[in-house]
Amino acid sequence: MAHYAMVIDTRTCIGCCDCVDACRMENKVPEGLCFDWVVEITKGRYPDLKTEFRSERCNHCSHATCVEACPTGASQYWNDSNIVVVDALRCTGCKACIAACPYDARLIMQPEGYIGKCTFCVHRVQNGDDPACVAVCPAKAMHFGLLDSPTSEVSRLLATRDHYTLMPETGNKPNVFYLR
Amino acid sequence: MQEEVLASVMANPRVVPDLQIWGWQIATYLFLGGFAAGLMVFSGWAIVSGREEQAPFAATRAPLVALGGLAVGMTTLFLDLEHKINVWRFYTTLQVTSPMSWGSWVLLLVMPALALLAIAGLPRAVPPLERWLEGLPFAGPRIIAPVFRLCFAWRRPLAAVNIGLGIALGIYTGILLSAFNARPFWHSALLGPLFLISGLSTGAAAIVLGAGEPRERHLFGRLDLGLIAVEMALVGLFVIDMLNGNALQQAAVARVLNGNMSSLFWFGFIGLGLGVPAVLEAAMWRRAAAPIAMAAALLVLGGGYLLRHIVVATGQQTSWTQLHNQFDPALLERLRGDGPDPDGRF
Ligand code: SF4
Ligand code: SF4
Repeated sequence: MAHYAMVIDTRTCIGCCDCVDACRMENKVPEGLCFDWVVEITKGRYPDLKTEFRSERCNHCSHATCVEACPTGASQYWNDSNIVVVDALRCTGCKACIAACPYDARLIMQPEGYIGKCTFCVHRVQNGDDPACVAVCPAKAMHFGLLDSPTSEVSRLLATRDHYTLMPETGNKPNVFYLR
Repeated sequence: MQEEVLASVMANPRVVPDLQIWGWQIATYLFLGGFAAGLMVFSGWAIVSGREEQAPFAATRAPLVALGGLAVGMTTLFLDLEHKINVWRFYTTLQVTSPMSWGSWVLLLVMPALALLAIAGLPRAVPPLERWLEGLPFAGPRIIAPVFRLCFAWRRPLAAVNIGLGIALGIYTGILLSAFNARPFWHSALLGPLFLISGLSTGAAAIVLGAGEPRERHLFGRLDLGLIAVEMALVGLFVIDMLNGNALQQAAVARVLNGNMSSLFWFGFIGLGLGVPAVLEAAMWRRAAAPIAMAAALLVLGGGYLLRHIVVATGQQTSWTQLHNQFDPALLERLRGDGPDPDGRF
């Protein structure tokens, strides 16, 4: 199984939101919807405050509860990898997958009604390209690749830098990692 | 202290900031599914246990009522689908990890089983039917009437099948929600039995309403009292389960106990939906009075719907993600350490 991961450096991210705009353009996200978003986290107590930015999206979980909940198989792993995609031709819009995603990463496509989400730009990945958000990041804060190979950039970053994932306690085994 | 605000906009309608994917359509479906399940079980029980004389409504007309209720419920379920054109996709696969997939196959089995049981009871439920059939030129006596007779002859095994499928349907309406680990308020295995017992209770209430004979009304009124008692115990266990759960579950159950859902929960569900009918039915333990029994049954039906509504709505109000799309002065107060809840996150 190909194990893809995204590694995002919160130390170099400047919160410009270019990843969000790139995704809009690349995936023709309808007005008023988004597949990714940027969160600003402030910690501490005034005047000792610390801020970090985090670009968030579907975590392409290794244990994807959305895929488990889907009654039609429309939500599925792409090509035996951990990339989770939705087949619009099979989706009934029952929304079980939305209820099942602890990260609220899914949305109802307007006006069609099937379910949309980040695809890790699978159409680019199959051609060997990075997802649009990763490719566009002006601070080079985002990295994408296979965790199966120990020499890949993402593997090396995770081996050498302190990192975390969002709410691993959900048990979903998220695959978007943040470097501290 | 920590605050999380959005630097870009994340406002996917009906998902973020508030989950609002399932409304009255799903609450109605879950209610009518449980209602039909209750009627299936009691109708089957009346036939299998040889109580057809004692409970004529349960044995003959109840499956018809269940069939109508389920048809309405499946219609509202269909109305809820956002991509209706693909509805047939439910029946091109069985996804073993998805309770919704199991449920759609259970529904496919329930419909014919219930329809056959309804046909078995039809000649006795609607006596003029047989005469009318005999009067029809060819199809009546030669084709339709034998089908009726066959269903009638096979009603015992049919009834047993309906009991099994009824229990599966009733439990499934609860398991559907309890399988969502992502929604803290639904993540309790008690929802399965709770919805099953509530479904049985609404089924008994429907028989009380429909029964023409005092004896049958009385029998199901007493049965319903027992079911209400079990349901109260299960609600209590569910609340304890949430109170002892993680922080998100505690926050969710607080909405029901003393938050935005509390008046519906305490006055509507616990008070009018369970408490008052329990008192009325207990008062009629020895001698039933038709108007009071019917009032109690109506309250039970209302309470059954409220339970589904409260659980469906509250489950969507608490989520793992806590993001703020707009400036919120309370966050600033927390960072300064002078707010009402300096360490709160939820
Ligand atoms: S983040 Fe949500 S939508 Fe993405 S794979 Fe995990 S559970 Fe599914
Ligand atoms: S909305 Fe579509 S993708 Fe989601 S669970 Fe239902 S059928 Fe599957």
